[in-house]
Amino acid sequence: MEDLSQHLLDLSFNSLAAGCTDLQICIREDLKSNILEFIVRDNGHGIDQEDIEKVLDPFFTTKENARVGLGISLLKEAVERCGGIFKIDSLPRIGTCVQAGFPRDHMDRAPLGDMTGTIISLITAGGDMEMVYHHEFNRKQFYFSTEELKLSLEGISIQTTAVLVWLEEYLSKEIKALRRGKDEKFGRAG
Amino acid sequence: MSLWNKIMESLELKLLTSPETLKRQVRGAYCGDLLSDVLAHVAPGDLWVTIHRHRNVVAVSTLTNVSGVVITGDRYPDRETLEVAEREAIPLLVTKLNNFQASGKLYQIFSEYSQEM
Repeated sequence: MEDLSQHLLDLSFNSLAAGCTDLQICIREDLKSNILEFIVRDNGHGIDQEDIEKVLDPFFTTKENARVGLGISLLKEAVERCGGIFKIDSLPRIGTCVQAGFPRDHMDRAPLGDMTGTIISLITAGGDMEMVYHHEFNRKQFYFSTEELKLSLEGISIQTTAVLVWLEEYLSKEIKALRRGKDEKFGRAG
Repeated sequence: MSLWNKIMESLELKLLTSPETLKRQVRGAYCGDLLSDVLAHVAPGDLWVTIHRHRNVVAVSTLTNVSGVVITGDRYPDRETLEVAEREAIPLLVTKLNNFQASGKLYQIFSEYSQEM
């Protein structure tokens, strides 16, 4: 996967496939403490304790027609390559929480990538799922919730093209403004 | 035919930065997608073959003094990456070939080139 937003999209699609109706994506970046971490939390049907180990195995998948499921093992590898932290917690019928933390300036940490595109894809694919996106950059915050947006849309579907076009512009502007930090000249960026 | 021209033609390269960025001599080539590995093993003057197209490629190139970056698989860098590359005078080139094909062609060119010398 080319960037972290693709991992986030992959995790979120796992959540969708697990029947989640509430999805939380939290990203925290702090240049001073050199951290970039994200959490994807859902209320899907969860993973049995005995299967948790198995999702990290590339030769395990619940998809019947696929022989391997690489998503989570690729993320774990991406984290470990940089000496980061990877955690997956799950309770059957309650939900799943996947957490990944990277040393932000590590050369092999992929850039965050296109979060706007990820959120838009999730809204398009998610149907009635509610989603919260929380992004912290050097303690500045950005918060977006589909539930709140839907309230102000007063009955117009969030999947209407005009809404999505506006949302795309809004999100990319806000996320760009949030992350506008002073990057050192040759240091890690993105 | 200059070495640059030979490479451009054989790998079907398209230069995305200005022609002025093509000022360094090509001395060899290195292929890799793990930035830390490239940082450790690429030699100054090498042409770097990679699938990556984000800003950090330019950062690694500047630190290692490569002669240019070949982005493979018909993938284009974003505007931001191009701007930094232009500023740092790192030539960014794209090709439809993949890493293996591009590296194979380069290997051939350099084998012939060293025989001629």
